[in-house]
Amino acid sequence: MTIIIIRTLTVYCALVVFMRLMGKRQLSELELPELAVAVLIADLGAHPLQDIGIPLMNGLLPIAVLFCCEVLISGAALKFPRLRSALFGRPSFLIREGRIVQSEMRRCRFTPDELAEQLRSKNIGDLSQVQYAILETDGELNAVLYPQYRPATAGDLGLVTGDGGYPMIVVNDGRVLSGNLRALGRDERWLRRELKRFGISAAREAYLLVADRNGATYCAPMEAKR
Amino acid sequence: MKKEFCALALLLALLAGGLLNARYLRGFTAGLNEKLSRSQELCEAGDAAGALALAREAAGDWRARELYAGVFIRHAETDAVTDAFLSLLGELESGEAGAAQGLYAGLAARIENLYNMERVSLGSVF
Repeated sequence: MTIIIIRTLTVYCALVVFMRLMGKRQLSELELPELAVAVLIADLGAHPLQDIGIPLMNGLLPIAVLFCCEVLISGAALKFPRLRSALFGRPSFLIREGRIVQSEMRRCRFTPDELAEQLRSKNIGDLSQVQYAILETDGELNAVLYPQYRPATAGDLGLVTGDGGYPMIVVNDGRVLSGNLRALGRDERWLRRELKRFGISAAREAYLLVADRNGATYCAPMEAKR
Repeated sequence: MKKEFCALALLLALLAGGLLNARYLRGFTAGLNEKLSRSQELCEAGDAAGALALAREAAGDWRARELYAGVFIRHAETDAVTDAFLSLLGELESGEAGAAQGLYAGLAARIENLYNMERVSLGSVF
């Protein structure tokens, strides 16, 4: 029993360390080699946990080897674009200049239904509005609309907008994040004033307070704990 | 680029470690089998005490590497070798030289198998 707990903790720590070292890409959309590594690592980690007759080394060693392969391949792909194309593939234009590229659709095993479905998931119901639809190497479909159908931006409308920078969390669950407060160029006095504006006397009574450089703030008071 | 070099170095170190481990295992298993082979010869010659002493020595060597075996070798294999040693020693202690002869071959094959599993060959890879 204790052995299983220790082995589980060891494998868990090793997985967290290796996945962390592999980078954030492992956490989001996976490319083909990354998917292979993720699937293999999950399986390799599970085997020594299920069977204590298998040395832990038999699980940890292949994970370390896969980690090395992943780092080397992603590094090499970054340096050599041709290798990247060979390993990860290239984006495919399923719609080019408003025309469905049927040969590419067949090559990517994409049916018209799936294309329409993917576009609908991006709130595009009318195919005639789509200038380009690109199937990315991680399997995601991105669409570019004809200019007349694209959402108007402030720039298109000739509007001048104030840039408040990146909104930062200043109070998180009653705790003041001093680093963020400093990064906004504000101090405790400003924070007390803002809290008072929302009818809050101390930071511990605020659940969340977000602010940007222009002084725009959002505040949610702490609810009474049951 | 530093990360890639570290990964390459780690991969090469693991590969070298694997080869060294295989080499160590070859020497270790060969040593055990040599002692068992000499023990068998003595047993055949009727020197039961000498055969038992050598078999005990080999079993002691095996037990001394218990930690190494537990970390690197499948536990089913290590348990099988330990059991085979115990059976052989039991037969030798009870003076059953005839029965012990069959156990020598089985134990030697199990020990040789430990190295064969680590040896880099087409058979072990695939």
